[in-house]
Amino acid sequence: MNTKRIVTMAGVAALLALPALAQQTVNERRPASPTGTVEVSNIAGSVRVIGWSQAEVEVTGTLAREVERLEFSGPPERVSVKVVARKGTREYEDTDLTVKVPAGCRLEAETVSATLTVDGLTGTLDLESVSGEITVTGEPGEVEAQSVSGDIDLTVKSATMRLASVSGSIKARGARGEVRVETVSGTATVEAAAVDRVELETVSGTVRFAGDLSANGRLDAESVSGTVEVALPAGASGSFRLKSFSGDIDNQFGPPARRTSEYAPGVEAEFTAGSGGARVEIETMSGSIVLRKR
Amino acid sequence: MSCDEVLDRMDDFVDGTLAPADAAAVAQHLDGCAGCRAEERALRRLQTAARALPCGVEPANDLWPAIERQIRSGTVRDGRFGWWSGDAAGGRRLLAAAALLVAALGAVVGLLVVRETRRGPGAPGAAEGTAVTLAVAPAGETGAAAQFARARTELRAALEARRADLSPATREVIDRNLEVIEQAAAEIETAMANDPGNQHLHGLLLAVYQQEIELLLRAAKLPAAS
Repeated sequence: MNTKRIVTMAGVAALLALPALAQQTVNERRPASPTGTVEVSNIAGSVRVIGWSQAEVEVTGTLAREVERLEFSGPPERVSVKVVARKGTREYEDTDLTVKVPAGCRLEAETVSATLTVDGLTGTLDLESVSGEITVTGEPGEVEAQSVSGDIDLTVKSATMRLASVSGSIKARGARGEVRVETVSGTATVEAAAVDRVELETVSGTVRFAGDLSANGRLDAESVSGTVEVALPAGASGSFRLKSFSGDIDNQFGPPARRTSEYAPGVEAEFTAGSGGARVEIETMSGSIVLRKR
Repeated sequence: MSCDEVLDRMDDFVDGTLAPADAAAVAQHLDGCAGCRAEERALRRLQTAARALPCGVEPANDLWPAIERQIRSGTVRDGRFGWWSGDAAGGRRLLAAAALLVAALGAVVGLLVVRETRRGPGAPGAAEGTAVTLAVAPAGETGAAAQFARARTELRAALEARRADLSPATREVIDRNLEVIEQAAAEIETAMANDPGNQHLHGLLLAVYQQEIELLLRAAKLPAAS
């Protein structure tokens, strides 16, 4: 074999080995309690968590080359799946994981830029991301999700939701019991049927609620400069209190807003529609208030 | 039912443990009393914040010294995923304590606003009351206001110290939203200068202050390379 051929073969072998250096595949399982806690964390890429009926956690996927190891540990009551990056790493390629967990477990999942998708879980979800999108479907009992700039999108039938984002948008559909939504500049939209309690809070984002309140339900919304839009069924009954320091009030349910003072710019509308029961309070500084019929 | 009777029952009402007849009477009173409603809202905020805390954290009477110590010790900058790793108990304590501060601030100011509301905007001293002092000058002499001002200063310093750990995109989001908050607070304070007895503005300003502390806390706990 001449030298040129040896060099060529060595080069080909090196090239063939590159993919293996770039990524490692994962396929591991360990026992998990059906009602225990599963912790998942990743940096970049994606995490997909799926509920299943087995008393095990299964992790499959690929690890980016900056990943030192996948820490898959813990007793059945608290299983941890954690992507550990090499020290000093500043740039991360994608690590993509699919994690199957007992459907009734409590999930605590955190990512930096990785997207986080959760489906088929019935327990409590505690989700956090910096810039990755959080998407949840299914019927989790309770959802708490927060992000800095990542969007949060839920289509769930959950008793309780607490959602917060700094600048990401929040969309929540299917809420049943209590919903609390908080943003600084992000927009938020909540769609729900017969929800008991809704709290919307923003500084400058637009927040919207479209749905119905239960007989004694409550909706409280507070904004500085963001618009608050609430759409209720035309026959909704309840007491309403809308108040803005310098914003407009567009009210399709009751009387037009009136000035609160001869000297200050504030406007308010306070009235009862139907037999009362539910209660709606909206306050803004300069943001507009829109109360409309669906 | 009088305001005092309602306030006596407020904890149980918010917890949902009040007898149905009493709960109905409290609810009826709340319908017509903005002051008690503000109290109820403050309590619910406290409840929400408390629910978010890790288990086993005991609130202290004076929360700030513990927060300050841990910020100064650098716990909050505890490496990659430090906040998320099992050995980040210090970080968790820091944030739990700071979250308690936020909750306590909300409750304290909520009570002050209630007091102010009861006194009435036209009542003697209304414009000089504690709530007004707190709202207009959060760095004033009241305990909660002073703690808030220190918390803000230290958390901003902590954020500056770890700025290099964060990605440019995250820094930009945080800076932009802190600006949004500052601008909102400035607008409210300007409005309050023209209408100092306006409880509606006090409540909004409190909410903005809380948002600011919460954003700073969130920034402080972000992992490196975020």
